[in-house]
Amino acid sequence: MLRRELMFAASSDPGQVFDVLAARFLVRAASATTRRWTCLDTADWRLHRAGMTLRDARHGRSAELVLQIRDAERVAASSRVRSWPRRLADVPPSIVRDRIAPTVGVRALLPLADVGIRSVPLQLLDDVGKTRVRVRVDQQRLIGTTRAAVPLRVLIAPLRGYERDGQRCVEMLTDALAATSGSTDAATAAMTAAGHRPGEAAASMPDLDPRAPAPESLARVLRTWARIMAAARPGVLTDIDPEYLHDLRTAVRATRSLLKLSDSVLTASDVTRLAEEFAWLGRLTSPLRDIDVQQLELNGRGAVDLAGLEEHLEPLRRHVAERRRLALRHLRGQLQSPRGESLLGSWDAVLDRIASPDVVGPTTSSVASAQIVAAYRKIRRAAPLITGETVADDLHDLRKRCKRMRYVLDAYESVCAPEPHRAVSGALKKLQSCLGDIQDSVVHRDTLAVAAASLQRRQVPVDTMLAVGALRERIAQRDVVARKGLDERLRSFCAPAMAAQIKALVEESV
Amino acid sequence: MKTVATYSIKGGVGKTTTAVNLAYLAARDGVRTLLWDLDPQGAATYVFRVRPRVKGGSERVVRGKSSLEAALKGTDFDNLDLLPADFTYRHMDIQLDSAKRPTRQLGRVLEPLAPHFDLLILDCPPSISLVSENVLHAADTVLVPLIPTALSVRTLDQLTEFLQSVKRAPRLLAFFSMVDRRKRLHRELVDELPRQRDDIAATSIPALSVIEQMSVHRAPVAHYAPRSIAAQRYEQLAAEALPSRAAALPHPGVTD
Repeated sequence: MLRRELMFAASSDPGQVFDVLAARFLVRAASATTRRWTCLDTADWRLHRAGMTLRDARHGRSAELVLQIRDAERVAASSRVRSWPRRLADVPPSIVRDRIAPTVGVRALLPLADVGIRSVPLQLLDDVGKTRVRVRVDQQRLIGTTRAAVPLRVLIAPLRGYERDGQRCVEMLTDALAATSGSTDAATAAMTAAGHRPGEAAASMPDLDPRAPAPESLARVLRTWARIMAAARPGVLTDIDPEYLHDLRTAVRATRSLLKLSDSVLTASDVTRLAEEFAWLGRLTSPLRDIDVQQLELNGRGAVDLAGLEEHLEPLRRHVAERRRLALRHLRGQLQSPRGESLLGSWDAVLDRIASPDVVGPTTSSVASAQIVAAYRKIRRAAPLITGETVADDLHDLRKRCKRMRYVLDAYESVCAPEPHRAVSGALKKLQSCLGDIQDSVVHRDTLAVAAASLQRRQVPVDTMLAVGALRERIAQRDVVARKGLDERLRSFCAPAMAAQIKALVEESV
Repeated sequence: MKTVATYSIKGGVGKTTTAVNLAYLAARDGVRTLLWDLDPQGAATYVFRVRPRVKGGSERVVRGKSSLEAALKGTDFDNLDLLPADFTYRHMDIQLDSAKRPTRQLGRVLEPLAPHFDLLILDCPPSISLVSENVLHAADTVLVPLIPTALSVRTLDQLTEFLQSVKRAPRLLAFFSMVDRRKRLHRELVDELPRQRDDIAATSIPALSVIEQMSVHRAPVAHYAPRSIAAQRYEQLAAEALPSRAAALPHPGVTD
């Protein structure tokens, strides 16, 4: 049975569907039913990007989670979740949870559109009273303050052997009713009506004009990062999921990196002052993020294998959870302090001034090439000093240089040659991933040492202390593996071939 | 896919009524069911309001020239599809006769449908012919409606004897149909025959006007008179005759 889903303009009259179809079929309407559904996805559209649509559908007292995977598969399970947002760990086990878990990861499911539906089922009969096609007309409306109308949805399901009649219905309806613009599935349409842009990357950088003054372009890039900070802040305060903090920290780091590399372009004194404020914000978020990384490892989401240790690590998990609670409380307090509250507002005002048409400066392309080359040179300068034995602080310094280059590459992607940009970014990501693994090991080992001392004072079971020791050992082994891979990736990134790609990349830009 | 055939050498004994109602009840319980109306008169096809026509007719079906799937029609009931009758089925014997293994040809053409259905019900024409021989080879269960008369019992004996010659004989299950308990002969046979044979179902279907109305309503009895005695009896017969019914599946209509 080939089912078709049609969407028509929200202003369409459902009665018109009846009238159009009645010209060819005997139309029998059943009583209307009402129900509601909530469209769920992560803040970064992980389900949408994976071709999945997840809905919490409620009809009377029954509720079910309905997962549609492209047009191919539909999975449903009863839903016992009363409210959203919710992390996956807090959603009762079901086939739907199992299917989305790898895609959703640590992110929480957010309610992105609440839709109320009034459905009228229709049967289209032939001259002997045989049903040939089943149709359902869904009048949809967002629930909440906006109550915006969502496109009229018509589902057409011809019975087996009557597919031509189904196709005829589609043609009759599309000829007679105004089609909706844009999205074609109900969930996407509802989320769009609710003011979201499904699938849009939060960190997508603006398209820059290579001839525009660099301060103006920089302001546009920095404003994108400022928007990400503003969007992540409520998620950090309400602790919806740990990725909000990650997003906030990334945006802060990117902002600081761009400011540091642009000190000759952005000379205003308030820029310097706010750069210091962002440094404060970055430092403020580090303890909680370190604990989050540790918690991910302890929950089996990291790279370290916990086999055989799981049951003995419970006291450590409780200890880390308690430390996290305190770290979160401290961060919340600071973010909600006058200093924390005013930071983004002040920054917006500075960006307005930077972006003013009166501000002049070198062209965007010349600044882009200068900054990319400078960032690359800094990595190359540090490279010869890096060996398998290099101390963690020096590796951390190299990692920061790599991150700076990554932010610059991302910021100026639109004015660079695409092919070299892809090649350089790809190699840099591999190097960063290796450095990230080393850094995670270091952080995890250090936090574990602090935790071990604390657990010892509390006289936890010996098995727990042994498990903590074994865990540290496994982390150390991972560190060794990551360091082995580092040398090759670093040499490759600093090789003449990569330098040639950098040259090609910036030449195009200039 | 399990195959159940309603079969009798005699006509007008309730084969089609039984096939239609059992198919409906199985489908209602979530079993993916196909009813093949093999009778050129097309009574089952008429009940489901489907046009009695199959593209290419009997010859095309028997030779397996085109997929049977293309000829299927959805009924008004979820999980229940129909392979309609066609007037050319009256020539099916001749066409089967020219096939390579004439007594197994129907079983072969049905094979591709097996993944799509849990239950196939064959509504056979009243005769003893190559078509019925094919049906007896293809079926897992042969359901024989029996009017409580001496002649009916004789035809059941003939069928039993014939099945003894079939290599992988299907399970035979006869049941009394159109029983009128006001008649002494009916009462005596309904009481006595099950003591003599172990292939008589415990359920009997009474002669009721609500069953005769099926051709007026053009729907299964259990649909238009679900609380009637007739509907209850068909439920009991389904429980005896059909393979254990699967757990109900999600409603496959126009859902999200």
